[in-house]
Amino acid sequence: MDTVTELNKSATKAPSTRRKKKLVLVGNPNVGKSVIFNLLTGTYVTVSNYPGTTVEVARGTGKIGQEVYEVIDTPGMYSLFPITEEERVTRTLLLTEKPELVLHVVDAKNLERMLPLTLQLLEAGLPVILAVNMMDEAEAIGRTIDLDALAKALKIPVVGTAAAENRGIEQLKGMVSDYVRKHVA
Amino acid sequence: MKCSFCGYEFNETNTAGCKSCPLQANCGKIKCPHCGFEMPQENLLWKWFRRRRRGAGAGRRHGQRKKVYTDALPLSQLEAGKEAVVCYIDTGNKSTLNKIMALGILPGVRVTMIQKFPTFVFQVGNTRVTADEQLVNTIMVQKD
Amino acid sequence: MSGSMSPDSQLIQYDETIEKALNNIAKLLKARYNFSKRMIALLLLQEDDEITKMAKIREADFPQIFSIIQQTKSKYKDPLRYVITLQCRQRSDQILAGVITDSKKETQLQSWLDQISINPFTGIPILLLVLYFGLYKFVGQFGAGTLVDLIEGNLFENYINPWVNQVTAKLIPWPSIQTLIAFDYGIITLGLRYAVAIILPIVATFFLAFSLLEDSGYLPRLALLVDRLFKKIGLNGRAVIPITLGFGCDTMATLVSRTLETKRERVIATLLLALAIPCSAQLGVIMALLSANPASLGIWAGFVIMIFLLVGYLAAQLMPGEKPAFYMEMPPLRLPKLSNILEKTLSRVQWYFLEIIPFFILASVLIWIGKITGLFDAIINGAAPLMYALGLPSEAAEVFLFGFFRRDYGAAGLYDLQDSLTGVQLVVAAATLTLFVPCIAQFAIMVKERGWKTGLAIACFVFVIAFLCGIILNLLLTSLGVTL
Repeated sequence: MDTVTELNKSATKAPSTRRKKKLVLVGNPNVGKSVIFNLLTGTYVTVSNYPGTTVEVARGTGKIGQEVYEVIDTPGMYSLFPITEEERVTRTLLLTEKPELVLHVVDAKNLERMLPLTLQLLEAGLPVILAVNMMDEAEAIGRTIDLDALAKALKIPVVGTAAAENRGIEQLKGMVSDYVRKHVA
Repeated sequence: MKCSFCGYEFNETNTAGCKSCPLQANCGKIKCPHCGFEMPQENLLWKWFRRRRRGAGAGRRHGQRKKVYTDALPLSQLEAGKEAVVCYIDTGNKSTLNKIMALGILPGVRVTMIQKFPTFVFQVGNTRVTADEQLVNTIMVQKD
Repeated sequence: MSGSMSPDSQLIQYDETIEKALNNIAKLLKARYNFSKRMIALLLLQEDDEITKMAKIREADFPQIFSIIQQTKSKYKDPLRYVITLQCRQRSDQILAGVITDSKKETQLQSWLDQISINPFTGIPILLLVLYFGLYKFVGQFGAGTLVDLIEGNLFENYINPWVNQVTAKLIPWPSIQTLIAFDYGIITLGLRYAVAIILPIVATFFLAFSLLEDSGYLPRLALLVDRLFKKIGLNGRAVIPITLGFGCDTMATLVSRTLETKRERVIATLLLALAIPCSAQLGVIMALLSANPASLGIWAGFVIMIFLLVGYLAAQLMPGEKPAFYMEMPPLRLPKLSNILEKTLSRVQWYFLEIIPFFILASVLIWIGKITGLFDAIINGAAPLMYALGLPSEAAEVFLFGFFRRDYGAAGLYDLQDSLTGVQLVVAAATLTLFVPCIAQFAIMVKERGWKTGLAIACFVFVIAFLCGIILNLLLTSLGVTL
């Protein structure tokens, strides 16, 4: 994969060409990203290797609010500083695809370990919404999370979900629509 | 131990600095993996003496920016079922260090050893991790 | 890009030295990036290869940026990546301090099933049970036995082949074209029959079992149990994924072996996959052949495992290079969702089929050309002494020749030949065929992934070792007077 030339190419591409709005899901492995991806997209999903790699990237379309989005599920990523090919692919994707929205999915049980990536995504200037997933499992081990306080501290929308039980998904969709209406002209 | 030249703290078993040396071990010296300064290996009797003294004088040591860990041990020596706090990580090997950080293991994090054979299994926060001796040895912990 | 952060309200305030460096670098960055300049500066400070390469091309002031990085680096005894990660984590913990409340002091994540799956005393028996039921019972007996009999023996032998033969004979007047499509070596009667009737059920059952293991979270446990053993053969626990996948399809596994960390591991894994890991199709046919006699199966399995370990051990001793550390996150065991498993199996089977059908058709055509031109007979005659050394009849050369086109193709040819062979001959042929060169597809991937030199060297090595081992096994069995 020659990321450098690819990045150079994308930098010269005019951003004004009309296309579907892009929503990219990022997060560690095993946080339920694919479940959320399946809930956001319909049946038209294509899974293909990222050009020049064996890393699989799933793309689908889904209607959220009034808008149809291209939803992209990325391979697991621990930080914006990649050490595996999967992470490199995800970062290249973030650098080249110009998503309207990045949905960072984290595991509520391991929020301490995963929030640093949210901070990195924000420092990179990406439009981030945080989905704190697996809230049910966190509750089961006696953990409560003050999502409002978190949203206030980060100054971004934060939503609690339990995707495996389809909890919080409607709220998540609402936040996506609100965010895109407010921030993407 | 702490390098007497640059103050870098490292694991005595870390021989990263000795890779190119034909004498390898048994030269009676320890090379700091950070600055390359060579120190004589510590005499066991002196080590025992120093440890006692440090224990007695521990109360007086404050106002220091960098904490000194007198009883830090590599995570590999933590008994199964015991809990400890990570106090520092041997930053000598970059690829190992990157892996450790990806797992969210950083100073201040609590770890619990679950199993030590055939491979180490331990818990960090609410995640369980399996790793080999090479990796586990670079994580220094302190029991509380 | 609609950055919601204004530059004066930094989310993370690093220490003074780093902040100063970040500001200075950000000021020097002139090109457009999709990330903020602050993040590009952060990545440059942490010496990220890709971003550094990109900045080197795009930034006129790169020498100045480089000197800022070097200066900042020299002020810390730890790598900047560590320092920055630590400060980011501290900020994150600070944010979370008022956000998370844990009511229970102790969290028990481990269920009893979890516990026994990683304890070596219970874990290894469980591992063997998983292999026995998953690989032997389900793939070997159900997939390669029951299903193959049903589709191959019933559907093709009784209905499709006779019908195709009849129709071809009626419609096409030229016998040479007739044999391209039908009869013993035709595209439909041989190529498609092998693909659909023998390979499909075996591969589908294997991938079903593999997806089940994958989704239940068992693979990391498998990795930790074999890590010590795999270190002896120059790999580490992480390599269980390509190696296990190799039992499904070595071609796919060779592709996946690129996820291994070092070149040394990738070469060793490629070698072992090419030599000693039979793919599911081959495994299925071999099991169907040998399972009638458990002793034959035992000798075959023991011999191949021995070669696997021996060659791996020697490769580990001889190959230079770094030995990377093993680590893996271990998700809790969970009941997999049926829909996810079916979806994964389906996409893998589909991938496999798109990949192999052209090869099967191509192989049929090549065999047809070989037959017509007499090239085939020449090779088979030429290989007769080699077959003789293995104690096999000269017809077996045909099976090995098929093996060139696809390993499973060869094994399936052996299936057709089984009635005329003795037990010992069958074991020797099966073992040699298992070790024998990879199929065309795997060879192509080997060359593509590892380069011409390494790929060819591995193929030649495997060729020599396979026949050498076959000859030794034959000598051993016949001189010991083993009858099977």
